[in-house]
Parts: sequence; structure tokens; C-alpha cells
Amino acid sequence: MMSVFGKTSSLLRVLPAVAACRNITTSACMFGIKSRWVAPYRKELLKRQKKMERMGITHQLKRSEYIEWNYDAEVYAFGKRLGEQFDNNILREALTDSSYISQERVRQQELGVPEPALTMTSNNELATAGSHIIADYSIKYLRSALPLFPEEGIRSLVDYLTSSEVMAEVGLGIGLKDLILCKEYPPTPETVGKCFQAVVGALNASTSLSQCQLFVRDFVVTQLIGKDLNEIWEIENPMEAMQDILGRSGRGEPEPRLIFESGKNTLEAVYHVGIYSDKEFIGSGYGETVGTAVDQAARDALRRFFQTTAASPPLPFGKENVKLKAEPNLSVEDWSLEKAKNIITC
Amino acid sequence: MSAARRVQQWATFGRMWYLYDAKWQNPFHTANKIKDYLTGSTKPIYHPLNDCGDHVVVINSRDIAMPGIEWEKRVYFHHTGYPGGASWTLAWELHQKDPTLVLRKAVYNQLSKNLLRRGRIARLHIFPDDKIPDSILQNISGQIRQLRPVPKRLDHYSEEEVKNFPKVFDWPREYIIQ
Repeated sequence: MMSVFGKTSSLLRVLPAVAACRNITTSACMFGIKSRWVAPYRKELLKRQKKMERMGITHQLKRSEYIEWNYDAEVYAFGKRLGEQFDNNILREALTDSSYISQERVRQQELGVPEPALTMTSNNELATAGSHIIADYSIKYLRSALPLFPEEGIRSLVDYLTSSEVMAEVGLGIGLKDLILCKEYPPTPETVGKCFQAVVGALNASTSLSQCQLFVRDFVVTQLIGKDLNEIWEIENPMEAMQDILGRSGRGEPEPRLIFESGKNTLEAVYHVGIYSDKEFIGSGYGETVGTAVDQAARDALRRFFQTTAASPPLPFGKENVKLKAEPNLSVEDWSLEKAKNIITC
Repeated sequence: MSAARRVQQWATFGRMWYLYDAKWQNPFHTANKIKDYLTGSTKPIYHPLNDCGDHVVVINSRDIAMPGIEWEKRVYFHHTGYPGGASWTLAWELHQKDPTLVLRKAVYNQLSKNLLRRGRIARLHIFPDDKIPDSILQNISGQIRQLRPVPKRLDHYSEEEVKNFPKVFDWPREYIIQ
């Protein structure tokens, strides 16, 4: 008995594709039925699965091919799940990919329908509208939330937020995988990202721009939580950038000084370097070598200037109304401590 | 992992090199102090399996001071493993042969009696006087405070200090000390 159960559980691990589908053996395992037909049955299913993969005729079942699938109910629930009031037709348009329409047209032509269905429109327009709203709002929000962060950094962050990976991640998290009407299953990340942008566009068309912007804030901009902003926007030459900023601010040349070192002649040497300008401390960094420590110290100094250290206040996502900032932030080439003093930070 | 987090990790788990002057210090009390640094117990990241112990460089181990009559009475036993291979060496004899052994054995016996002990004692560097190789001297990053104050010899005080010291009593000039 024990050996059969052991074998079954090991087979469960070994047969991922077979375990994914619902059949009688899954129920058998659920009820703990350890009959002698269970393992050989699963082995046979696995063999056939492998054969199908070799022949290239595998078919991944989508949710709509299982029973109890009601697309109307799903679309309605989608809106309610997000807590937003979508217009039904606009939302359906947002969920329709152009590949689906072309596939439908071809299918109807094959069936001999004289006029293929031209009532459906793809989500291209809504997607472009949505991507504009997302980019626009993200830029303005981040400019306001990070007033001392250079404009190039803000652009980098927005490029990250509007990248296809992040858009796809958000889309899949919302539940678009089974709602999208497109040619292939599962839909590609680009399709999911485009559909998410179309959903944003649909929301804007159904409700107001302000409501849509709150949605973008809650679903897109929050992807920055827990991420190191300086990792997303990495400065190539921090020492040079820091020297330029200090020069523009009328401060002395930066001097790196060794604060602490340990185990200099060993493989585990640790160096702690601090950067001083006019004998005033502006940043410090650690490193395995003195060069690394100096580079990290320069980055730390820039983080302190731009107020993106680990101790800086987090992005505001509470009830407070963030005043969106349309004018661009200071560029890295123009950044100076005097100008930074004039910018109000909370 | 970004560079910033990598170097933060490197610095957190960095090894310290401590210097300790064993002149006039009790080797057993010293060993109790040093073992904490060798095991890494002084760090908040301590875990026995973490290998976070520091190096300790001890100088002037020739000048350690054992209490009372330990130098005459303390005996170090050694057996070679062969018949008739037992030997009992007094502390002062052992100290003459190798002035680092008394302190080394004191630390070794204070460390936990497990497989980590060998690695930890390997990070203890004892020197009989204050001559240290440059390669080790350059590694040093901190110092452990001495446990008892080192008294200053009377002939190491300057004449002014001796003359100006507020004496409570002195023998009369005519008095002959026998």
C-alpha cells in the first residue's frame, strides 16, 4: 500500500501536464484511492501526452473550453471585481484583439458567409488612448512624488512602467488571460499588455479621466513599490555626475577619503570610503576594493541629493491628493544644490 | 542583486581584525574575552553556522601574568600516544619553550568543543613580543581593550613627577633603614 502511494505521489510530481487536466485519476488521488489501476493509467496518459508533443498536436485547454463558462458573466464580474463601472460594449471592444477579428473573418469566409462580421472592432484605438493616459499620468505623478529626481530618471521609471513586461504582468494579475479574444492561447505578453492598455482606455471612455487616473495609480504606478528606483535608472558615471553637480553648485571638488578598512591583504577585504566636499560629508560607500567603494560612495551621494535613499519617504498612495506636475523636473545636466533648495519637498 | 545591495551584504559580513596587547594581562580572563570575538558573538548577525568570527592578533604574549602561584603549580599534560609518552610540563617551563602556548591553550580550552573550534583557533594570531609581520599589521582594523590596567614602573616615571607627587609619609632624613 505504502509503496503504491509513494509511487503515485512521485508520478504526480513527474506528470505535470497530466496532473493539470481534470480526470478520474485526479479524483482518485483526492479521495486517496490507491488502486492498482491508478499508476498505470497515469503512465499511459503521460506516454500519449509525450507522443502528442512530438507530433506537435498538443492543445492547452482554456477556461472557456471547460464547462460552466459564461463570457457575459465573466465580463460583468471583471468590471465589478475592479470596482469600476465599465460600459459593456466599450469593454468588449477593449478585450477584442485584432488577431481574433482576422481569424473570425477567415473562418466565416470558409463557412461561406457572404459578408464576414465587420461589427467587431479591435482594441487598437483604445490601446493607444490607454497607453497615452498611463504614460501621461505616470510622468506627472512621479514628477510630483519625486521632486528632486532628475527628468531622465523619471523618464526611465515611466519607460519601465510602460514596458511590455510590466503591462503584461498587471494584465495577467487582473485576470485578462481568459477574457481576451485572440488567436492563440495563452495570449502573448504583448497581447496582454496591449489589452490592459485598452482596458484603461475603455475605463476612460466609460467614466471620467480622473477615475481612470486613480485606476492607473492603483494598478500601474504601484508596481514601483518595493523596487529600488536607482536600480531602474542606473547612472553610468556617478563620479562625473557628482563632480558636475558640485561644480554647478559652487562647492569644492569631491575628495574621497578612506573611513575604514579591514583585512587589506586578505581576499575578504572591506573598504568604507566617504566623499567630502569642502570638508563636508556628502556620501559614503562600501566595497571589496577601493575603486568599488569610491563608485558606491558617489552613487550614495547622488541618492542623498535626489532623496531616493532607502530612508526616503515612500511613494504616496494614500488618500492624500497628489498634485500632478506638468513641468519637467530638473535635468541631470542642470541639477544643482541651489536649484534643489528652491524645490519644496515634504 | 544590484551593486548597492551586494556591497551592503559584503560590509555586513566583513571580517574584523582586532589587536590585543596581552602585557600584564591574565591569560584566562583574556581568553574568555577573545573567544567572543573569534566566534563572532559580538555581532548581531551571529549564528554558529554563519562563520562570522573575527581575527584576533595578540602581542606581547611573553608578558602575560598568571595569578598567584600558577606559574609554579599549573601543569600541562601531554601524551604522544605511544607507551611511556606521558609528560607533565610546568607552566613556567612551557612558557620558556614557547611563549605563545599558554595563551593559545587557554583560548583553545575556552572555545566550544565542536568542529568549529579548529577554524576559530586558526584565526587567532599570537606573537610573543610586539614584532608583527607587515602583512598582518596592515590587516588590523580595531583594538580590544585591556582587561586590567598595566602598572607603571617607578623608574619609568620622570624625576619631576616623583618629586611633585603628594607624599603622605616619608622617613626622616637621619633615619637609617636597616
